[in-house]
Amino acid sequence: MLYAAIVILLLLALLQVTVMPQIPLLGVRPDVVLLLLLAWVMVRGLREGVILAFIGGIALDLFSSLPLGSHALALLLTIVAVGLLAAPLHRGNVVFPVAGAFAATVLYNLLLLTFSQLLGEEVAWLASLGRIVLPLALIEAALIPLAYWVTDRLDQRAQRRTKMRIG
Amino acid sequence: MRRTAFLILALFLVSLTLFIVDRVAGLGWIKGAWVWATSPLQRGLSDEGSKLHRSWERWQESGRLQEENEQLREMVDYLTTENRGYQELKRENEELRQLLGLRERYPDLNYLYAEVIGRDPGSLRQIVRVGWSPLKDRKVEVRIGMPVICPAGLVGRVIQVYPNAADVLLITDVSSSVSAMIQNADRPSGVADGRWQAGSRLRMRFIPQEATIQEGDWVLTSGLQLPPFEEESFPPGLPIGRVIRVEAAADMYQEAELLPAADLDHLERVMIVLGAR
Repeated sequence: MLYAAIVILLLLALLQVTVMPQIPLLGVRPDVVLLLLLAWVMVRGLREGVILAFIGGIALDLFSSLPLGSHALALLLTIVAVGLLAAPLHRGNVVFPVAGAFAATVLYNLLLLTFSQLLGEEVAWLASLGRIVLPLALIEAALIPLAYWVTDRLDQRAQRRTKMRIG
Repeated sequence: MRRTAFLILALFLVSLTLFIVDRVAGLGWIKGAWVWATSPLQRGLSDEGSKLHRSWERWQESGRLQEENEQLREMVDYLTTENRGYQELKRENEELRQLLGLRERYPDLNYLYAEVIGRDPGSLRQIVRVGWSPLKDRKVEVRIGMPVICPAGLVGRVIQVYPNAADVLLITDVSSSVSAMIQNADRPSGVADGRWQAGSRLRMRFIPQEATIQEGDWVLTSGLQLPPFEEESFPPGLPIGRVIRVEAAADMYQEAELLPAADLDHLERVMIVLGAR
């Protein structure tokens, strides 16, 4: 299951830099890598979540002009926060995944902005928050139920297969 | 839980080490190898993305027509499908003609044609990755700071170079500054800063208070050299954008909001200005 997720994640990272910029929603491009990671940590737990966050982060770093490790660090911290705070509370409640996705998107982008600032780049904090981060957080929060449903189905299927093998 | 904590710590330390080493010593060769390996795939997917965007726009247009005339929409869809291949070729042809026209307009400059193969993964930065043919353009040397243009006007400048590819900071990014002048009788000069976060715009600052500016005025590159790019100025006379709003500042300068001349959200082909012939 984890290996399949890695392949999907790398494919999503590639789509993130090629196809997604062409279909913006509310003026921003949905972050499909972050979306998958959020759904994964909620369904499959923190351990798999951080492994995928690291791999997905490195993949994004390779496509980005930021130093290697920037996206990996931001994603790791975000997924750990979601895994520890939101994931244990979400079972049977749609509010937590939605609120968790919103907060996680804000946190992730604030971390990236902080890295840019640390690297000496000019950062328009308020404009970035108002025009990019908040609309993006709304989109991610709106899309998380779908990502969660897909991940949950994949998880159930994997569990059925494991049971059949054991049986 | 202890094993997970150890794993988190290990991955965090690896990421932090990569970040510091890349910043201090530079791991550009890893990205270079990655770009080299993935650019054909990126190029293909970016093309598909552009087609998807055009289809999306066509679909939206069709939706409006549907309200007015269902039959007409069906006919348009049919003809659109039939002519899609032809339209695509025509559009590419037109773009290449425009690029050639640009070469005629600036005959003293050397160019390298490049295709947009990707964009920065996040929405926070306005950076595109462009690639060129390794077979045709083997001897070219692209350097950081080189201007990038398209038929409509200025696009940005090169900020990172890989084998057969480069990252381009668009003029609308918040960290971009271009020395500019307004094309009118006064020809006032100023600095055009990126304000993409404020709606894909630019803001021209330091325009003398006494200068007359009107909405619709063209803003061009002035060719003046700005710190920290003293050695990498843009050629003068390239269109940056048009004035859409004028704001009288409290001090001795006024400011203007600009709409970029080039459609930077849907770039497909660009030219890197390699220097004077």
